[in-house]
Amino acid sequence: MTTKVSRLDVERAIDASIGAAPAPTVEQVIEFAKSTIPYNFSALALEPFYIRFIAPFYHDAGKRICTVCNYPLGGMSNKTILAQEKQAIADGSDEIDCGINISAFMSGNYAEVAEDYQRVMETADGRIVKYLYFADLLTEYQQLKAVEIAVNLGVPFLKTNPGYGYTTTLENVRLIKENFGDAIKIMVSGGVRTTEGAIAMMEAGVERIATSSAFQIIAGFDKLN
Amino acid sequence: MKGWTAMELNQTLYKCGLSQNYVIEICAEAAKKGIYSVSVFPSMVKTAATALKNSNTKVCSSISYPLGADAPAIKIEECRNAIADGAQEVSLVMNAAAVKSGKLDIVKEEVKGVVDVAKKLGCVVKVMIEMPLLTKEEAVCAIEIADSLGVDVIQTATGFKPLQKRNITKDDIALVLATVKHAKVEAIGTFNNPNIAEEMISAGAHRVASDVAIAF
Repeated sequence: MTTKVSRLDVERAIDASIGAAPAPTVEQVIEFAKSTIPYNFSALALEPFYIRFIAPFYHDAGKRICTVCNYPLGGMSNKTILAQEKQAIADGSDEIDCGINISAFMSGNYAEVAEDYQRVMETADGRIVKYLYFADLLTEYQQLKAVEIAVNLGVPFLKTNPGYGYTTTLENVRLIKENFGDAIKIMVSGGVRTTEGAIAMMEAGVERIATSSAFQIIAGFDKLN
Repeated sequence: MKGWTAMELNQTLYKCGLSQNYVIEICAEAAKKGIYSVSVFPSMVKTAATALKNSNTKVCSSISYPLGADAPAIKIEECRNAIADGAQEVSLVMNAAAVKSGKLDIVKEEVKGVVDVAKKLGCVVKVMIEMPLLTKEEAVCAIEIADSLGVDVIQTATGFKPLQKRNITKDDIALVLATVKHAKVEAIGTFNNPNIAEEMISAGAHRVASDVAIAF
């Protein structure tokens, strides 16, 4: 099989997360972080608690850390989200993946969703923010509405889903590409676990892939050649 | 005769993307049935507090739900904000990773911080200990910390299905009861029928949480 998407392309697109047993120990996360250093992954994705244990050595290795805020269920109040985000940045997070106020969105309060997220952007102070909008829960119309809010706010990246059983399809990606083109970058999250799956997503135009199967995806390139 | 009363039930709404109207409907139903409390995410506390204003049903807010993987300062801040929004009870998810890592100072810091803030404001404190993720020794250690720091109620899990390797059983209730000196125990797991409520109450649980409590 030949493909235009190279191993390095995929490697550089990956936000790697541990995804082992739930609530991994600090030791397990340190070990995982160290094992990602030889790779060209875009970032290591961590829950806020772990950042302070990883950031010192990970930054020394020239690597980036990404944290999840208002995650994974999108039910925090905006005031707490901003405190969580500030703390994450102080602890050493280079990027912020932040869930929208999904209940406000489902209630049709789009202005509230936008206002809340505007503050998330301001707090990030120029760092990359990825707009987690729970695509798997939404109708096509709702997906477009959610993305429109992000595009209007100038958010650099979408994050389709939180994982935890929420999966992202190629149709989810195509819908955004067809309607918004390159106005916003896409990170897919949820259900990308194979080399073939990652390549298909890259071919559909995604810029990043959040996955807990990073090593497995990269190792799969050996079998393709 | 049923082996439980509505006052022994906690209706949880810990589901992603519930609309305001849905939360209001469930609150009205819970109040009508005399259910003890409705538990919501912090973003829905104001909505639930307004809906339950003229009832005896209490509003409980989750804190750091469902992973509990936040720094103590953020959990304490979330608790303060939830109470300001109208929460009468808070339900803190204990940092299971810190417990498993032996970082007990962090666990104590978050629990003590939340208890201090909540007690000062007259709010009941519950702590969710994800028992299916912990060994028996870890669970006992977690329960002892919560109990000794003045937590009112120990909850046996979060009920978040992706974390739920197994359901909560009478043995979990027994372990909490055998360990605590002061705290009460609330059974929470994946409970979808009234028979489980009865089983948990007869095992000594003070209260039972379910996402379908209003249908019991």
